[in-house]
Amino acid sequence: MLEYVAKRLLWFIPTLFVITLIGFTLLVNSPGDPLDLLVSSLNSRQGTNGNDLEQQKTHWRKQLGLDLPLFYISISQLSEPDTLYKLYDQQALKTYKALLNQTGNAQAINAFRDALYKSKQLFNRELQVVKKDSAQALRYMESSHVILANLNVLTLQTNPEKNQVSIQTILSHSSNYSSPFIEQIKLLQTAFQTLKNNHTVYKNYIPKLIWHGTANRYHRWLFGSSYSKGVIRGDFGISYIKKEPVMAIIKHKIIWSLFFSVLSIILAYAISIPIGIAMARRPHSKGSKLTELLLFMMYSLPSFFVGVLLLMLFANPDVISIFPPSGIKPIEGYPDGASLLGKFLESLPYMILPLVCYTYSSLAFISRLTQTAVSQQLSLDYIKTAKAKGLSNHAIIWKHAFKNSLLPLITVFSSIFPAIIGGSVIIESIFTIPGMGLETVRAIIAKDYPIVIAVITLSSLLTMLSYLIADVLYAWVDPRIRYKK
Amino acid sequence: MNSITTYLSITKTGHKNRALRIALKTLFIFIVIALLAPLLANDRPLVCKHKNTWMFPAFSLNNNHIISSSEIINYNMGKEWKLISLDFVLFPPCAYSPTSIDAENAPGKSPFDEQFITYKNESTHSLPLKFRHWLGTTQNGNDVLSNMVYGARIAICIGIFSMLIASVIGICLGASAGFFQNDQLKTGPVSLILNGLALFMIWFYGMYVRSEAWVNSLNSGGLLLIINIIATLLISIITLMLFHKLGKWIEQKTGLRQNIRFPLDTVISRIIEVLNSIPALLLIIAVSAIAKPSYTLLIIIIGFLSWTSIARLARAEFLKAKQLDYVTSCRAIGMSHFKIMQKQILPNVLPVLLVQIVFGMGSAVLAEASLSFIGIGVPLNSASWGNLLNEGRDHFSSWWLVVFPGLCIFVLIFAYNTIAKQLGKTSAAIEMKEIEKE
Repeated sequence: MLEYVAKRLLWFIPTLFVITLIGFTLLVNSPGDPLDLLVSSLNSRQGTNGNDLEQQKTHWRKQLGLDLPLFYISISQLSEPDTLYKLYDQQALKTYKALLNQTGNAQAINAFRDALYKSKQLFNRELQVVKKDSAQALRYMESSHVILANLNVLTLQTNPEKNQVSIQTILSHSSNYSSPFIEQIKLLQTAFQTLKNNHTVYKNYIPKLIWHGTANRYHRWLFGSSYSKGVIRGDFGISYIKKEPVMAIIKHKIIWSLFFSVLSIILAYAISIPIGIAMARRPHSKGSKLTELLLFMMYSLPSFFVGVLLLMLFANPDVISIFPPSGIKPIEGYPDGASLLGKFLESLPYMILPLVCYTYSSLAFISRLTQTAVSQQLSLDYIKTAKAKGLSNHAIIWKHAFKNSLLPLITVFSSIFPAIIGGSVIIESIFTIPGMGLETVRAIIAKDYPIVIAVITLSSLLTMLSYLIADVLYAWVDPRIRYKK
Repeated sequence: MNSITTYLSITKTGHKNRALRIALKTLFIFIVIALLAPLLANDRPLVCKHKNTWMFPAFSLNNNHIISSSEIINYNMGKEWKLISLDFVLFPPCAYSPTSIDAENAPGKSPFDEQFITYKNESTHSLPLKFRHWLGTTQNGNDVLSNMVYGARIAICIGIFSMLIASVIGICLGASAGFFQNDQLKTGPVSLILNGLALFMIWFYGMYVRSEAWVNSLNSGGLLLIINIIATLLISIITLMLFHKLGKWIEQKTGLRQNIRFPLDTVISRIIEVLNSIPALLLIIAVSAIAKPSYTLLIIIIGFLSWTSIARLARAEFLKAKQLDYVTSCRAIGMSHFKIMQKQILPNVLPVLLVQIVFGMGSAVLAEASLSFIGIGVPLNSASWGNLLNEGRDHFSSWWLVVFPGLCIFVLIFAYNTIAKQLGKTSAAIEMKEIEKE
């Protein structure tokens, strides 16, 4: 037994690694710079200027470890510079990669980008000089617009012919400006020519392997750093929007999801076990056939359809309005000093429709499972023995058959349980229950990825864990499993 | 042997199994509607006659018809078709396209409300029956029936194509896991290294170097993505085969022994376990928040996430079949592994796998409907049942936006589930018969 558990536990490590890797991949590939969201909402509280913004970003980038390589190793093209991951601006990164695909010459691209950057700086200085004299400013107006536009175009444009044209346009308009600027533009042109003429495309097709060690984003995300505790200790970082730790938000939101899931599971078991047993006892009667058909239809009925129909029928002032349409408690909140029971009674009308919705879909499944398990037991020899002994029907069913068919039911319980973390996205958004499901939908719409990733990773981990527990339970109850290879 | 043919012969003559026949007929109707959608719901008339020229606007790929130098009929005139006078005109059963807006009957006319039309002479009349919005209109004035017809197209496509992907992956992986287990797949060191190298090359040259092309095709969705994936897959398979053969050849020439046992079953079982533990709906939502939503992408994601149940079943079935006599005799006459799997075992276990595949189609339809219901991960404003329901949820008084698409989803899923269940029953019955025969 111990050996079996140890083996399963050892297998748990690679799967954990894979699951966190999937979560991390999603997180890294989420569009937009996380710092844009983080810093912008920090600043909405205190006004700051643009220069400060960049400083703040650099500060946070260092703090959060976003300036590190992604993973322990990286496999890249030989032409790629080793520190390409430090190019944070996604638009710039896209341009850079496109240029790299065309030319395969990182050195020339860097030289070109440097020249471009310097040209921009020089041009800004020129503009400041020009602006001081209002008479001159008018004279320079048209050319400055053209040059500025073309310089901006050059940073994003990758088509060599078009770039050539842009540089020519800048040159032809820059005759009025000071000589250092013209010199710089000429340098830009040479850099561009070098880039255009020195292609080393073959370098794109040679793989390069770099070892980054533990100073990488995945390692920090998983095991933590001075700043965070790491996923392994339950720290999924900070929500971009709410600025609170993700775990705190989950802890706050999970209560309602947990409440509904547990209550509905209990309800579903309480209703469907008697149904399943009744169906198993008289498998060919008309009643059990009809029940089976009904349950099967319920199984095919999408929960969101049922939810909206229920709301339309019972929470609609035009038809019957006995239940409130949304939320989980009165809008004005619970009355002061209400006890737990009082709160429950206040919330009861809000809970009935969601509970119906939560419960009905698992009814069919669990009853069917009970039916198969019990009827399988009923066909076994020991039941015949029990009958021959003269045991009552009631005792045979409940004391023998049902007891022995409990195991599959428990396994199902363990597979339903992890769904709590994700909540039921659909039902919670229909009835606006403030649980994990609704929070996840909100996070996705607001592009608050740390929450989404935390929910996905956590619920996968919990599922894996519950598989493990179920397997161990099975092996404990049924020794045959342990010895099977 | 319970092959597919025995199956179909049973279902054909299976007058006993009424449920299966009804469900198959229902599914057939949905498929016909999906295929004929542009002829069933369209702004353009099917046939019309104007100044002695016959035109077939609904069938035409052109956008206009030149009658004379001064008169051109524009096929995309939308509502105008109903207002102009023609010598003869025959409209489709539902005379609206899903996107066409009937502003006069917005927002949200119920099927029983009086609906109006204003003719060119500015007289307003009650809408004639042939133009009636039989199932009402949405808030924008789109025809609900027309949206439902096109929604059938999306639902059927999602179900069939995603399960096509899932069953190819599931059967391939599950079959090899069940057939080879942990100790049957033997390779030599050279083959192993060369296969690893081939996989690396596929990833590096197929994915990494071409990352720009992948991003572009992901964002475009549609045909470009499909072509990209199929081309990459084909090249990958050819590369793998070549390297595999090369490895074998080298090993034969050098006389190296093929004694490394590849634990295929363990690897595939672990992959299934991990994929199973990921909440599929949430993953689809998260992925589609990263890439631009499109139905092609949705089909691919659903396909790549739902192959696990098919693979599990295929693994169990192949494991069972492997120990049967006919496989042993095939081995004795020296049939190759691949041939045994493909020509002998697969036809025998396919009916059982079909049960799971059909169930999967139902779940794929449900997944698409759920996603469009919460409005994430699917293209906005497309004609799908879930989108209609989504609108109905905000307007309780518009019951027709909830009831009709909801019923359609229910009926389609119910049909799929019934087919699967009845097929399962039939295969169990056939198995019983065979046991009795023996």
